[in-house]
Amino acid sequence: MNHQRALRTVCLALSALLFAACAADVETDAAKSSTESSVAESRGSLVRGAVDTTGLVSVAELAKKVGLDTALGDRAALENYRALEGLIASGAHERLALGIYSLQSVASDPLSAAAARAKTLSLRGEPVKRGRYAVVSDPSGLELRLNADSGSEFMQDLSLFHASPGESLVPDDLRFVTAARKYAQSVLAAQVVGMPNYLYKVRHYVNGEAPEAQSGAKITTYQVAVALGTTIDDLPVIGAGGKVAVHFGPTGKVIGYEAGLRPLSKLVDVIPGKELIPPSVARSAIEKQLSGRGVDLTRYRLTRAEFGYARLGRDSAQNVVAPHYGYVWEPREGDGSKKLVELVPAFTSANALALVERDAALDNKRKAARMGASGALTER
Amino acid sequence: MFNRIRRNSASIPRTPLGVGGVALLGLLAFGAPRVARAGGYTLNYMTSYSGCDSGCKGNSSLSYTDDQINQLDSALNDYGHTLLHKFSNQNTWSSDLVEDNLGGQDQLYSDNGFLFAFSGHGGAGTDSGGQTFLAPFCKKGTSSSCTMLSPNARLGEQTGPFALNPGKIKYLIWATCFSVDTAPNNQWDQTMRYGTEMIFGYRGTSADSSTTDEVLGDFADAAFGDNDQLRAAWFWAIEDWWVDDTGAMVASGATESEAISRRANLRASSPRRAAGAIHTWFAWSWHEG
Repeated sequence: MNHQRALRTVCLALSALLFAACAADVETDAAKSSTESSVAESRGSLVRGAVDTTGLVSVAELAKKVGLDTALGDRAALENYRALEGLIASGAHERLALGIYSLQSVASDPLSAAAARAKTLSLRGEPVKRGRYAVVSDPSGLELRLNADSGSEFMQDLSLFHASPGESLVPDDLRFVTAARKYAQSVLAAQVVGMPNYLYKVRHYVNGEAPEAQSGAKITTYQVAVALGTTIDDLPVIGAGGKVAVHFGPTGKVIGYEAGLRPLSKLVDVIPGKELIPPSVARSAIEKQLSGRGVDLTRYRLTRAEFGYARLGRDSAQNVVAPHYGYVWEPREGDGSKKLVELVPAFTSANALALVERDAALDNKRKAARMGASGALTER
Repeated sequence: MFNRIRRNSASIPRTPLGVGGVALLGLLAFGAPRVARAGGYTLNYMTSYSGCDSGCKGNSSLSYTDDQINQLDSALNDYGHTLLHKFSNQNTWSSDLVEDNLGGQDQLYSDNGFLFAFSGHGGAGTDSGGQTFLAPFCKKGTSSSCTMLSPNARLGEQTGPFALNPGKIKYLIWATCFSVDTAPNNQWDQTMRYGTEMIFGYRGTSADSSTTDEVLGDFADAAFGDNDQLRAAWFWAIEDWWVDDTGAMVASGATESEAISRRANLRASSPRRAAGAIHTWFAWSWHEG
C-alpha cells in the first residue's frame, strides 16, 4: 500500500468535504519547492511561543491526575480527540496553533554512532554492519543494535531476552516501573534522556504449558516490560515510535531495552486552528477510503479515536512529526477479520501536508527497497 | 492421549501403506536430524476475497497483507532461501495446508518447504478436541472447504501415519487473528504431533496497518539473519506498543520439559526434531498488557 497515495487520497476526500482547494494548494506549494528547509527558512522567525494548545488535554496534568505510577495507555490521545471535537463545536479551536517539527537527523555513519554508544554503555566489541543495523556484540552476551534508518536503539542480553524461566509470582508492577525509569535515565543518550515523561504501559510476558487434550494450562510470567511515552508540546505521541521499553526478567533484572526516540530539531511550520480537520470529517474521509478499498465496515466497530503527534516505529525513516488522528476498528464479536489501524494527518495546511507527504514518500521508498528481492506471484 | 489423533472422521489416514510402512519409509528417507540450511518457503496473502468460493467470499478486503508477505519474501531471499510459491487472493487454496492423506495437497504447496506464511483473516472455533484455528483462503482446491481448519493440517511429519509424503515444514507464520489463541495445545496438537517445530501468530486480533506491515520482515531479519532465539525474534518483531497486537507462539515436545526448553531455545539453526519423535506437550507464550 502506498502511504503517500493514501495521504493524497485522504487529502482529496477531505477537500471535497471541507476545503475544496486542498489538493490544488498542495500541488501548488509542491511546485514552489516547499521543502522542509525552505519552509524553515521562510518561517525562520517562528518560535515555540507560536504554539497554542489551550483547551487540549495536557499529558502532564492527566498523568498527575490519574497518578504518575498508573499506566496512562492511550487515554491522553483518546481524551484529546474528544477535546478537539468540543473545541471545534464551540469554535474555540480557532485559537489553536499546533507545531510541525523536524526531527534531528539520524547519524550519517551508523557504525561510528554505534561505537560511540557502545563506549558510553561500557560495551566492548567492534561495531559491524548487519542488514540495516550497526551491531556491537559484547563478550558478556549483551548486544546493541542501532537502526540506520530510524536511529532506534535496541539492546538485549542474548541469553536472557525472552528466555528466562517463568515464575508464578513476580514483584509488583510498581517495582518494575520505578526500576524502568531509573534505568532509562541511566542508559539513554544525553539528547533523548529527558524525553520519556509518562508511564505508557506495563506488559507481562506469559507462559502456558499443557498436554494436547487438556483444557487450561499452567501459567507463569517470564518477562515484564515497561513502556514510557513521550509528548510534544505536552500532547501525546501516538504510533509505534516515541517510546522506550525496558524489559526485565521475572525477578527484576534488566535484560533489554528498545528506544525509538529522536529529539525535535526545529519548528518548521505552524498549523492554525482553523486548518485543523474536524474529527468527524477526518473519520468520514478515512472510512470512505477504507470502503473504497473494499473494507466492509459493517463487520467492524470503531474502538479507538485518538489525536496526537504521530511517530513511526523502529524501521521508519521519518523526519517530520505532525498532528494526526489515529483510528482503530476492531471486528465485531465472533468475526475473524483483522482489526484496522489508520493514521491520518489532522490538518489541511498545504505547506505542512507537503512536508508530511514528502516524508511519507521517502519512507515508502525505503519500504519498497526492503521488498526489492521479493519474487513474483505464482499463477495456477 | 494418543486417541486424539482421531479427532474427527476426516482425520483417519487413508494411506495404503499403513502406519508401520510409512514410519519406516520416513526413517529411511530422513535419518537423523540435520542442522538447518537454506530451504524453500511458500507464502500466501489475501487482499481481496472477491470471486472466492462461497463461505469465503464476502470477507472484508485488506490493505497491508501484501506488504507483510513481500517483506518476508525479500528477507528470506536475502538469507539464501528459495521461494517455492507465492499465492494471493483467487490463487490461494485451503487444500494447500490440508494433509495430503486427508484430501489436501500440502506435499506440493506448503509441506515441501521449511516455512509457510499466510497473511489474511483468521479465527478460532471449536470441535471435539477443543479450540481450533480457521483461516479463510479463497478456493477450496482439492479439499471440501475454502476455510482451512487446523485439525486437518499435518505438517513436517517425517514418520508416522501421515508420512506417505514426508513433510519438510519447520515453521508456520499465521499473520491473522486468533492463530495462536487461548488454547494452542488444542488448536495445533494435530499439526505438530509428528512435525513442525514452532508456530507464530496472534492471540486475539491482529492489525491490518501500515504501522505493522514490517513485522514479518523484522522477524525474518532477527530469526534468519541474526539467528536470535525464535521466540525472542517473534516478540521483538511484533512489539508495537501503540497498535497493541498480542503476539503469541507455540512449541511442542515429547515431554513438558522438552516443550518448555524448545520454546525458549529454538533458533533457525536448530535441527528438526528427531524423526519419529511424537510431541504431545505444548508450551506457548503471549503477553498481557
